[in-house]
Amino acid sequence: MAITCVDEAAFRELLYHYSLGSDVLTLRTRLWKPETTTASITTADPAAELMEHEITELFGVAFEGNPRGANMILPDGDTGIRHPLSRQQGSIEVRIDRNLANIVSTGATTQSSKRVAKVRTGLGMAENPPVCVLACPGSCATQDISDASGASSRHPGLRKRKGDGQ
Amino acid sequence: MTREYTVYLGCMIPMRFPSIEMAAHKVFEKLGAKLHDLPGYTCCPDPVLGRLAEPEFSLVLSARNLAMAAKSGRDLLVLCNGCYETLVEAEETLAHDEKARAEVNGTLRKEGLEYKPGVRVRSFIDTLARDIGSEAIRRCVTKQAIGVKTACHTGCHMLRSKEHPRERVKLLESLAAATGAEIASYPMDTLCCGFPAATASEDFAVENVIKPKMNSIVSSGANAIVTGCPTCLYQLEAGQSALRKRGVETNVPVIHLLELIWLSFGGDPEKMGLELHQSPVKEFAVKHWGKAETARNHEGATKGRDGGGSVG
Repeated sequence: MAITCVDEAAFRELLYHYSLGSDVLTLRTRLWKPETTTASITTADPAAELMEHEITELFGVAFEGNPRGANMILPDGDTGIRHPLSRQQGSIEVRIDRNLANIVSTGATTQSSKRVAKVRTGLGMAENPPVCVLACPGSCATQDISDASGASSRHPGLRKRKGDGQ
Repeated sequence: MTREYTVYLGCMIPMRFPSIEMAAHKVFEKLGAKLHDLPGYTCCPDPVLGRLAEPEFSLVLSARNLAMAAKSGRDLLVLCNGCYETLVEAEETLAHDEKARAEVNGTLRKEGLEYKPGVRVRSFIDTLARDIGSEAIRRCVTKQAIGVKTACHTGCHMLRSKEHPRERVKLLESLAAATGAEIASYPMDTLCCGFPAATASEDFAVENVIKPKMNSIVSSGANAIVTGCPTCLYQLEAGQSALRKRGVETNVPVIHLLELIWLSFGGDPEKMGLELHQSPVKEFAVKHWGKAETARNHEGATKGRDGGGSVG
């Protein structure tokens, strides 16, 4: 078996790889920052001891129950080197094509384009579907979001997720 | 007794492909069912990007849609694969996670809404295949899809189910076959359309998804692609366009299942808004379902487009 750790700024991903004959089974778990602790699997699989400890040194993930204490890779003492493969906490970068993002994120809360509106009316349908639009006069979720205050300026009544890094 | 459903249109269908919205109302009406709109609905939201970026906010939006649908007392019929997955998962989460439900209801209360478990979220494909049945569709067919050999693309979100993916593929194939269309078998029928990948890198999506997928489809002899997902439809059309920009000749019409069924029920291809498609769906429909004289007129126009050519 082997364990891989990947630091994605907003979270750390632990990948547990197991050889099953000619196949490799990979189990994945995520630790959202600032969480740094997870359970050790050494009681179930003693071979994990060194790998977990290596991840502790390089990434700063603490494995509760791992018996190994002293540094294996990094020098002992206060050398100023701490978890060299760990990245500063941040957010996930999602690169999205602007046009597609517009379709995906705002499709139901904007008006139809002129071309589509023309086709819709030609088919005997309303220019726009009965969606909740940003300019709607009544009370609606989209308006709540714009004037919300509290834990999250965009998400009234909701707490930020741990490790969002925002 | 008339079956009645509250219909969830999503964003892609009414804003990009109103032909699907129109076909949905017509098809279900012909089959003895009535669809009621859901006034004031919002984005489902999107099952990939939205939930990845903002999971808690996404749950509020889903819960709002579900709470409004619950007021109607009818099943919520969803026309889009992605919306279906989002709403089913939100329903499952909220029904079993009291903490999430309380948080969500704290927000919904500002609008006088409350989410309560029990909304039955139905995919239109499941409804057509299981509540209504292929045989009922077959009985309503007045213009068989003669000469149509279609590759069916089920779409990832419909495959994520307790059922075996192959059973989900068969559902779509059985409904398409009920129109008289021949079903083309191709090895990559469960490969993703590439939409999520394309939002990050068009090059990656074209090279690793669209190209092998279209190769497989064209090799099967299909002259059309049928899908039940509007986003897959958009992507398969846009992906072919991206392939053409890279010098690959391909232009297979991509048609939504509801459009296919309505055409076979006698829908007029000239009056469906099919011109909004990026692939030659309108020409294809006129050729196969239009009036004889119209079909002849369009034969020249569609020559070389219908069926797509090769992908290399």
